[in-house]
Amino acid sequence: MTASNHSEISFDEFKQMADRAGLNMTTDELQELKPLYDLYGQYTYLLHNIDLGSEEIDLTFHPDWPQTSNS
Amino acid sequence: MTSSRSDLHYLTISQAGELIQNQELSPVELTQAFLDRIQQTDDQLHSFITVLSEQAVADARLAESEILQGHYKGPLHGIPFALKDLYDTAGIKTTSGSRVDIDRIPTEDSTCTARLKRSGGILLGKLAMHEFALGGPDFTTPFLPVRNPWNLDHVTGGSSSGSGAAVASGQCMGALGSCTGGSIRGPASLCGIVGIKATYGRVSRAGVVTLSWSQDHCGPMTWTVRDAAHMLRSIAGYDHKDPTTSAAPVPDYTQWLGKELKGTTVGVPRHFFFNPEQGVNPETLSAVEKGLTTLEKLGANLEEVTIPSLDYVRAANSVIMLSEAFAFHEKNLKSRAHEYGEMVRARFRIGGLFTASDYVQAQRVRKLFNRELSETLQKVDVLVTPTMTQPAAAFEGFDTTSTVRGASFTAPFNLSGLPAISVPCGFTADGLPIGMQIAGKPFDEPGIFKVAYAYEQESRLYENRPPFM
Repeated sequence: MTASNHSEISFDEFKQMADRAGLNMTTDELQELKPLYDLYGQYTYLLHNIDLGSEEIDLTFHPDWPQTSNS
Repeated sequence: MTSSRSDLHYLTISQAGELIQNQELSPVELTQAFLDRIQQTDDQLHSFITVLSEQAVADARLAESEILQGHYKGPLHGIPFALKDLYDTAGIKTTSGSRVDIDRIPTEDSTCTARLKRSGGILLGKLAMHEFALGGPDFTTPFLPVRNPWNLDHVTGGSSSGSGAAVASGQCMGALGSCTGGSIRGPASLCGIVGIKATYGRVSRAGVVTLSWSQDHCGPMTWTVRDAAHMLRSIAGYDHKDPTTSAAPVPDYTQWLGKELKGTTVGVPRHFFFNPEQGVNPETLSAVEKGLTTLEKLGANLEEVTIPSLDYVRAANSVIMLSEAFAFHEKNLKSRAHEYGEMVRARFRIGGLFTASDYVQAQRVRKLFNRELSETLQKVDVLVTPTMTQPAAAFEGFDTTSTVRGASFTAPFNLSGLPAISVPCGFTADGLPIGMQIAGKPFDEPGIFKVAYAYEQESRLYENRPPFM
């Protein structure tokens, strides 16, 4: 995984996100959680910076073949 | 039906099954041997959350009676097994390794539980696990972390930690694990046993506590490939309680065991799984390279393959997993957060912070990856890789973020839903097991069993048992 350009959000932004999600966390809890969020932030940064072209999503996941064309 | 053997706990399912069928071994004696083994060893291993001594002996007596009356049900009849403690068991506590569910008693068996019982299996008890099938050893949950029978100072891997330790130490003949990013193959690899997750849809998830609906898989963990084939056949197949299950017939997987590898093409994605930049341990690489040489000697053709989107799989697997986990746990996380262990509480909360766009991007990566895998598996029959990047870590200094920071060699096959098995393929200089992963096409469990069995019989690593007791 390469996500070296990932930039971390501020504590205030992080608090707003947690409040919006309804997590009801104390300031201490938020401070403890933020480093882990920043770690996962590398993943989300990567997912938003891949050229996925016209790739769609499978509304219902199934593993069956064939899936050989990018329709 | 009598026997005087003192090492019954190290028989394989196949060996014991033959003795039981021929009425040379009593299921009661066999069950009691395992209950004794659990009593002797579990204060050090911590594999079990619940031991069902009285019920197991009663079930074994019933099995013995059935067999003596000529009603032999098949290779699992009278065989003692155990379940990861997220498989529902009617009337029996099912905790998911968490204080949140510590008093939860289901009213129905999971489909897998019911099918193993229907096959005549004897349920010994419920096995410890990483809380809600995520994270790592966490001393803030009510249950002590499970210790690795090959070295008690080391972890088992997880999340099916109890399943790995119990099978490896001879506390049960087979166990069920569950797997969302590698929780069957991981502990199987680190505990020196066999673990398989079949194709998504091959085994019902009904009555198994959810981590991630679209990536959860159920499967057996056993000492040998043949034993895994027996257990998988018992639990696989359509289930109206799980709409994702396939109606495709379930074959007798043992028919593929012993078939030659001549003409089988093994794909080797060296650019990812054998790349030192992924942090893979040199002893692991060396062992799996030897495994590949053995497969070649057995007649397989090796072909290097490239699957570019592997670089994105860990991100997609994690975002989908935690987003779905948050959706499942949201109510409890908001009202009873303090009842979760520290590690899982933090991870699940992260799942609530991902955006819809994050989740959709992860699903698009999933489709891209499946397309690339499909193209690759039109050229080769199976893929072979190391199962884990590292052997079992020590408890001392264990990095709780290691499962987030490092590469995952198992997650690709949860994201894709393709079948994958881990078989033992060597040991480190310190005596810790190393596993080799074999993955295949959708519903080609026979193909991966064939390769795994051929390798197992040639390497004969199953003849080694942990030094523990």
